[in-house]
Amino acid sequence: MSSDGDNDDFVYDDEYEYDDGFDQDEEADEIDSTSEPDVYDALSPAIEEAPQKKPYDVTWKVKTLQEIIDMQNKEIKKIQSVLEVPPSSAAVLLRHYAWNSEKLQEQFWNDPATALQEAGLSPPSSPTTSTQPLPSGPFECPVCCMDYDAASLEKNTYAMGCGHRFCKDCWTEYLTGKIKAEGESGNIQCMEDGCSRIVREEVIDEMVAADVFKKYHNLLNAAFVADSPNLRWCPHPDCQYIIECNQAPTRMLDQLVPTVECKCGNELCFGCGHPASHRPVLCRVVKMWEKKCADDSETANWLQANTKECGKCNSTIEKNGGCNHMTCKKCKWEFCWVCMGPWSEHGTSWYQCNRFDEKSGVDARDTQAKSRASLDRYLHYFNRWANHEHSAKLDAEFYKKTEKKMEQMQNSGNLSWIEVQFAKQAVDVVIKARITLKWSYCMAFYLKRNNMTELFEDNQRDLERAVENLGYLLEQNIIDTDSIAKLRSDITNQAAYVQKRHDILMDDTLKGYLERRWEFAIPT
Amino acid sequence: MLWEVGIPGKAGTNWDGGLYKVMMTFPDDFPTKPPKCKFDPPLFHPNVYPSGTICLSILDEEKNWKPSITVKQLTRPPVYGVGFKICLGVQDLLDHPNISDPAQIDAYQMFKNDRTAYDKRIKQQAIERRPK
Repeated sequence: MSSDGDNDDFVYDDEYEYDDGFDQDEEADEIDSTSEPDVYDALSPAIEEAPQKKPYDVTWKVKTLQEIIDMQNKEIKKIQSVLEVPPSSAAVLLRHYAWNSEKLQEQFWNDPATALQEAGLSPPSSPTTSTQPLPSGPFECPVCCMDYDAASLEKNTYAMGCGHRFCKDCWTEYLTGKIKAEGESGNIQCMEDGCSRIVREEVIDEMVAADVFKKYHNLLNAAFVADSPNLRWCPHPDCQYIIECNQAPTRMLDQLVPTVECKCGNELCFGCGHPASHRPVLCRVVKMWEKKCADDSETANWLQANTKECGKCNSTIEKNGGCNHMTCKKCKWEFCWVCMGPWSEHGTSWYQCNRFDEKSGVDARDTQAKSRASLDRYLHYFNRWANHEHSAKLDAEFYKKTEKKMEQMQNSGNLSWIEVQFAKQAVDVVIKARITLKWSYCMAFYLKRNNMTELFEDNQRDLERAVENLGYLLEQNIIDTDSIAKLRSDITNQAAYVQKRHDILMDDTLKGYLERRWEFAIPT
Repeated sequence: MLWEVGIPGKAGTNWDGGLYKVMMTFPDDFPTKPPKCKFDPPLFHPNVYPSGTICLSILDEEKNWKPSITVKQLTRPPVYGVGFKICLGVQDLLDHPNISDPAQIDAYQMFKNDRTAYDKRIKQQAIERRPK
């Protein structure tokens, strides 16, 4: 797989070139200046994301709650003036037609009385709340059976346009219960059996306490966002923002993975609300995968037990950080944590640890072996997926370790704070790449075996190997000043390489959807 | 609040003669929420869950329950002595099962496949539930 992008012109294997051009003065200049991209690239190559929009990217806006309220009010105002109805009626109508104002106007002009009635409003000819005649004699509230004399009727009872009269205490209790306990807002109906008249905003304002009315408004806003296909709440805790995206309707989700970033700094998938990027995997595949992993939870639980046994001496080993190059403390056996094979085969020759060869070990005539193979196949991909998931959980520790190392480098290598930032940037790259790798195993599990899949797995393998090498470099101990310079150049180069492999995998996979290159074998 | 309610079978139907005991549990937020109605002991009827709970849209807050149902549709002045009230809706349901919304398999299948046996079983149940 070749990358045909024009922007990967940085040099990542020429480690001596920028080593020379690296001194304090230049460094200081370069921080402020972005006009010298060539030199700057050599220092932190390609770690900055390319600013141009890719064909598979979507544009979005982050909205505040106030903007969402303004959006609703604007629509309400429009309908109010066009249909000549009070604002609260316009709101009820719009909610009934899921904020599709064109459809609303069409139905309304076709038959205003029916449109109003279907939305739960009084037809224009019927009496309104104010013109509703009061009963002449004493009145018994049909809900609580309390008696009210004629003199207190106006003060203590209330009927909407439909004429169903109840005492205000019952209204208050009913509306408060609906809003607070059941979370209803836009479609609270009259208390009368069989009456579908909607209780409008001003009635609710009159009947319930201020905090309940506030909650009513929050629920209305939540319902507005939920009803609008181009809006979605940011799923991150305590974040109040709403994302607006017009380029990711449901029908596009077979071609797009609409990852967006909220103002709170976190990413999410606009398509499914997943609280992080799950690129390059499609929403429905992610859903299927997560369901499968939950269904096979017993197996998954067993798998997720974080211990493995040394292939030589059978000592139980827990991996609590670091790269996949493991050395058994007891017998000094060096092996790969992912495939458990000897490490010697990984460093030099073909890295065979990312793909599952379906052909090997399966006896087609033996059905038992077949079913075991399908489980093995799942476990293969799940293991690799879970491995990266587990690594991601150790991110904080990874950063802490790196920070310590950066301090060490500043002290023993006479480097400035800025000069050691390369290590943190490299960690950023590793973490990002691991998330992509994690999802790439979910993708590979569902891909049909064909040439395209082979290319995908080639890219996956290249990235896996690059990340592993970078992880290994970041684990290295600092011995002396000379080794720091060497390590620094190695890490910077490798980080650039990882970033490049990452972008290639991502770019190719996401473009593949648009070009309909991927064939999935979705089990039924 | 817990009410013990006796619902008599309508005269002239297979349910006639039986008095069917319903336990009505009123939630704290009644009448915003409906009371939970449960036949005790459970009843052989297509819309009654094996636990005895009644599946009826007017008793479902997500469906047709409204606070005003309390007095008008559900209860009436005592007929079988103090403490007994009639659930009109439930009484009506006895002889008019809602086949599109079954709650127990035995009564549902018998009602659908063998009406003669079903009617016989209902009459037998009415005799068993005759008030002493």
